[in-house]
Parts: sequence; C-alpha cells; structure tokens
Amino acid sequence: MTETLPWGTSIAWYLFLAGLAAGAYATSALASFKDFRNTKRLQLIGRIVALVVLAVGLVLLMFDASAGMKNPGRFFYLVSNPTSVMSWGVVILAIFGVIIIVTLIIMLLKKAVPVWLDAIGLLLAFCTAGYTGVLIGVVKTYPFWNTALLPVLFVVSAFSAGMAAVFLGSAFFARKEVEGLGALKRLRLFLPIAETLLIIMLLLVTASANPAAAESVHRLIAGDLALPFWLGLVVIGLAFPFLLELVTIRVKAGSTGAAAIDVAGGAGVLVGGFLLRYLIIFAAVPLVFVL
Amino acid sequence: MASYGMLIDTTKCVGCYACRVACQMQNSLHVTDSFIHYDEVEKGTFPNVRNEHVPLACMQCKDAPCVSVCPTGASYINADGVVLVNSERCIGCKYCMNACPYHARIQDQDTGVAEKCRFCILADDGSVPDPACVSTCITGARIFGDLSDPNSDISLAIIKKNAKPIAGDLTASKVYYVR
Repeated sequence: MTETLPWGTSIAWYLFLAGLAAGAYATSALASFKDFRNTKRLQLIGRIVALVVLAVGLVLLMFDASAGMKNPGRFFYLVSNPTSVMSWGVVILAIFGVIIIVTLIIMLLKKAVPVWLDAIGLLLAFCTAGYTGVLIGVVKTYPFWNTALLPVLFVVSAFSAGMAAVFLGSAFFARKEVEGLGALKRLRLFLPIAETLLIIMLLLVTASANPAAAESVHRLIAGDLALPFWLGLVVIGLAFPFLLELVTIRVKAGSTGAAAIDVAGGAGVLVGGFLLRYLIIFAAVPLVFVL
Repeated sequence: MASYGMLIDTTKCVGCYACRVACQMQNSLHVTDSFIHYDEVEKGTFPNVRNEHVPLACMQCKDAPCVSVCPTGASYINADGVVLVNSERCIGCKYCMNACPYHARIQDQDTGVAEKCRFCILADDGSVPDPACVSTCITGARIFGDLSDPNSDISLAIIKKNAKPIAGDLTASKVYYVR
C-alpha cells in the first residue's frame, strides 16, 4: 500500500532545524561553562545560529499548517491539549526561544550570561531535541517511528549537528577560540559513533517489531531509499566527519588546516543530520490490519 | 447520551462505491476527496475465491489517537461518542492524519482543515437519521445505531453476526465488521 504521507520534506527540515538550534545552543552553553572568557565569539555564533534556524524551522512549520496560515489566530489554540506532544513542543519551544533571545541580548550587552540561565537553557535544548523524536515516536500508525530509541537518536544527532554548525561558523569568524574548548571538541569523535550505534539498534529492533517496520528498514538498507541512506547518511554524514576528525586529531586547533577540517567535516555532519530526519520520515510504512 | 457506532458486513458488500458517492454528496466534498476508502482483499483458495471489499472510514474510536495528538483541541469526542472536528480551531498541522492508523482523515483542499466522517451528525436536528452511506447502501451492508442500547438493531446484529472492530482492540473502535 503506497499512500502519500501527511508529513513530508518541510517537516523533515523542521525536525532537523529544531534539533540544530538545540545543539548549537547546547554547544554555546557548554563552551560558556568551560571557558567563558576566551570563547565569547564562538558562544555568540552558537546562539545566533540557534535563533535563526529555529525561526526558519518554525516558519516552515507554520506554512505547512495551511488552515492556520489562513487563520493565524488559531495558532494560539496550540497549547490546548496536554496529551498532545505537539502542545508540549510549543511550550518547550516558546521557553527555549525566549532563553536564546535573552542570553543573546546579555552577550551582546557584553555581560556574563548567568550559569543558572544557561543551565535551564541546556535543559530546554535537550527537551527541544528530544521532543522532535517523541513527536513522531508516539505515532502508532508507522511502527518504524514508534520506538523509544528515536528521541535518543534525535538528541545525539541534534547535538552533533549543532556542534558542527558552531565549529563551521567559528572556522570563519572565531577560529582561535576553538582552542578554548579543549575536550569538548573531542565529542566529535564520540558523537558519530554513538549515532551510528543508535541507528544500528533502531534498524535491528524495529526490523523485528512487525512487518511494516521491517519494510521500512528494508527500504532504507536495500530499497528505494538505499542510496541516500548509504551514501548520504552513512558515508557523508557519519563516516566522513568521523574519519576526518580521526586522521587529523593532531592538527593544531586554530590553524588554517583545522578550520578547513571544521568546515568540511561540519558540512558532512549537517547533510547527515538533515538526511537522518528526511529518511526516517519518508521510510514510514503504515500498519496493515486488513488482511 | 448515546454511543453511536456502525456495523459493516463485507459479505454483503458488492463494491458499488455508492456509499462513497453518497458521503461525498452529503458532505459537499471535492470529487477527488472522500471520507470513505476501500481495501480490497482476496479471500479463499482457488477455485473458491472472492474479492472482499472493505470500506474504511473514521472508526469513531473511544481511544482516539487523533484526539489525543491534536494540539489545538479541534478534535474531540462529543457526548454521543462521535469523534468530531471543530473546523474553527484546526490549524491543519496533519498530526491527526499521521496518528490515525485507518488513514481516515483528509485535508480539505480549500480550508486546509483535517476533516473526516462525522456520522452525518451535521444533519442532526434532534432526530438521529441514518448517515448517508447507510441509507444509500443497496444491500443493507451497513447498520447505524446506539451501541449503549442492548436492544438496538446494531447491538443485536453485532452479537448475532459476531462482528468485530477491524483492528482488534487497537483503538477501541466503534465500527464493527463482519468479514
């Protein structure tokens, strides 16, 4: 049964951009905890990226909700249903958005962002990235989505993408500051491994869940989505940035070489981050009950 | 306080699609939109086979996924157990269309609202007429009525024909099938 899916490319972009915003903010907040003085531009980049991509994502989401676009007042109803993950998401995003803006203003005023504020922001970044996974994770119609692993995978991928975006921006505007991050930078070796393991777990667990989910897995690894899965997600999005980081681990931070690595590897991670959401959305195969 | 439900006897269905047309007329739907769709299943082994038509629409679930995911509260269950959409609140986010395992929802081309079968409740003026799909069915394959009344035609037919929801207890559906 091939049906057109209710959610498509713009939702995939939104899930990616919301996660990216969460990851960029988290990177910025962690940099602030680690070394507040010497990573100011980098932190600023993280918060600006977070704000811009979150705004773009929300605009995409609103345009996808056509009845709301025709009657914008209806968007105020969005927090009406406490059982809807989308309602939770709106609350989370509203608070997260305010925190991004407030911390950005504090930084632009050349003042120190209070640690407690960034700690709350970090929690909301986590919730934002997690909710994008729960949002589609609770949908029973598509068994491939209906797993608790999905939010975990989305959180890891969001952090990875956000960090990549901050390093990418810093390569142009705050090259020297990357040094100040120390061990935080090494997460770029750990995150692709964690993400790869989570993807393997997701495929193995859902493939055995039921026939519809098994078909989703098949479409990804050997079916119509195999090319973007293997070449786009696995090679460009995971293996390339990881190997690049691995072979250049001794390149001195702040050098032109390190900046080029941040740009190339970061671009790969971002491509992978988007494709992960895109592929999961489009690999959805509905439950079959009329047999 | 009723609990409206429907029985669909696919052994009586001849696959004429009159229910879909009647529904489209009643609800003023575009010719390409409909609240009813059909699955076709081959039954039996050669040479004793038949093509079973399974008309599907909103199952009027008691545990309705569309209602639990709807962020604006546009989807709700009324006092008589009918799942309805308040088109003044719907933003067209399509979360319900994802959540419904029966693919019972469609997005109105003009308004963007996620619509679905409403048991023709809009025609309700105090009396409770049969929905258009029921009154139009040439073989009487559909029965509409109050499940909370043990003596209603539908309650008796469900017991007599051993009718069951299409997907077991997936969503506590109130549409029963004889297959």
